Amino acid sequence: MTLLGASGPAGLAVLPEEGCCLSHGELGAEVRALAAKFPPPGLLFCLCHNDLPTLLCYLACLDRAVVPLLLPGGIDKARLAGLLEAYRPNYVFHKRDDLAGISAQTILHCGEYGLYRTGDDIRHVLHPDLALLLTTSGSTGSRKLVRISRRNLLANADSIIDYLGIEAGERAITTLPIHYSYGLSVINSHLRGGAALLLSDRSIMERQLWAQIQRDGATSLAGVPYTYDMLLKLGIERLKMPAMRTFTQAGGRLAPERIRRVAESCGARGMRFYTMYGQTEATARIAYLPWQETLARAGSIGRPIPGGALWLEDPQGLRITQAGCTGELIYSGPNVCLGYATSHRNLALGDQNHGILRTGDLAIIDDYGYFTLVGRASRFVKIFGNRIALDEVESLLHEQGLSATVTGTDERLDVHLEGQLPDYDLQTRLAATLGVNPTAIAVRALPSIPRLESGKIDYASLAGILSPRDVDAH
Amino acid sequence: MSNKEKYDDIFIECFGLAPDQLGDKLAYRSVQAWDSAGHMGMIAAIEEAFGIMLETDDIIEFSSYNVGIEILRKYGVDLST
Repeated sequence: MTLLGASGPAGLAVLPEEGCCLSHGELGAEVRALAAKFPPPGLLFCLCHNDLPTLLCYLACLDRAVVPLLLPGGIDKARLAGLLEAYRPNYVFHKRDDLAGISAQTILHCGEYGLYRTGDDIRHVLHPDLALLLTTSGSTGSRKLVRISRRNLLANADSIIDYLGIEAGERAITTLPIHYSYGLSVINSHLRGGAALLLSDRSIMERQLWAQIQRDGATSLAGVPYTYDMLLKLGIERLKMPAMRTFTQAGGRLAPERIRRVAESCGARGMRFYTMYGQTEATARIAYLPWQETLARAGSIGRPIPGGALWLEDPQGLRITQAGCTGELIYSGPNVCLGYATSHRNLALGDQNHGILRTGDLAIIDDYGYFTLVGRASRFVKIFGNRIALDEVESLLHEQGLSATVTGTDERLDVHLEGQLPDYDLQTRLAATLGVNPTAIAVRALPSIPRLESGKIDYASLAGILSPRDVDAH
Repeated sequence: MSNKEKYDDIFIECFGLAPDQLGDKLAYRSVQAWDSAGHMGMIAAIEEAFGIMLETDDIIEFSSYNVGIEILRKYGVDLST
């Protein structure tokens, strides 16, 4: 596995929040030392935090053909139990105080972490191409995993290095969790590009993160839309980040108005702002908008990454080439995952996708070859027979200056408004705009929209917030 | 309602706390609801309740219930009673 070693061994690879820095040579030696003590190939659950032991475990797994499933360190116990039952891992790597009960026998200690046998001696049939398992984006409680190969990891890292121009002098601060495909892509692309990682487990709202950005000269930061909501609140012009050169954004839709605000602030500081698009099923990255285009084409996901192809298909599977016509976005490239798994029995499967991914996103293309998402194929509701794209309702509300998340069932549209209710009757006005009865719309103001650890909106818990009584009250 | 009561209510409301959870030990990440999203909501509520706009550094430094009292003093908000 050659995520490591693309550059000279002397350059810095890892700068933690506290403790010693490691050069690429030293990191490679640490990984080999850990890998040498690893058990035979099998399945491992890694409960991740953005720190050195987690990074070493991930890299040692790749070195030793132990297949890791990367999970958040603070994973919900019931969810973990479901995954344990479905996948029956042989090993588990976690912070010693994170959990107990599934760790039958200690293999080794690594800092605050331990590598343990679970006591399940099942002999998994692991496909030789399988390198890594990740949870699907956004889903909660689901046991569905994405199967990723070595080739996927390397190809996507190389594409990202290419279009972002990652060189040895880059220092990325890890603002996204390592178990999340976008966060992991930052790790992979920087290590393979000979650049450095400033390891941090902090959020944008913590002073320790900003102290580290200043002290160690972070040059890039990756964020989901919510990260940028926070950065805009803090005021990008006023943040102390003297070496910062690049902001990247992916992981969901950032409203064009906000993209422009970020791009303008970045421009004023001489920084580049990339908006990008991807899915875990494509290892991470699918498309990006060159930073020079961000302001002019705010809201477009741009073009496919180097080595990939993008096109649109109509419901009959015919290719759409006409500008402005909506179709499902299809991606092809060497980073398209092998397929899904829903239990350990699927880990023997090889490549089921053959390099082609149906994204489930609806998009249009313009005359210059730039793609723009217009909705999610599956995020539709049908109210009194009216087909309504939830993303379009969100866009509509954003244009009115409201920060809202919209969920729905086939009987009702739920509008979750962040902050205060407007001084007009939003329910009636929205009903008129959409052409549906106001009783089918429920509006509620929340102090903040619930989010998953990745920063993505927690649709599952939002759906549970509005009770039928709230609807009657409107 | 006194400033102190307003301040306390914001923490109780934003983080879903009981009054006896307020005080020295209440800090970022010390309760589940005080994460980055909770922090954003809490800061917005503080700004609205006291009619102020916090500076970038103060939003980042606002790392605990007690530190917040010190920060608000700079904005002329007295929470001593």
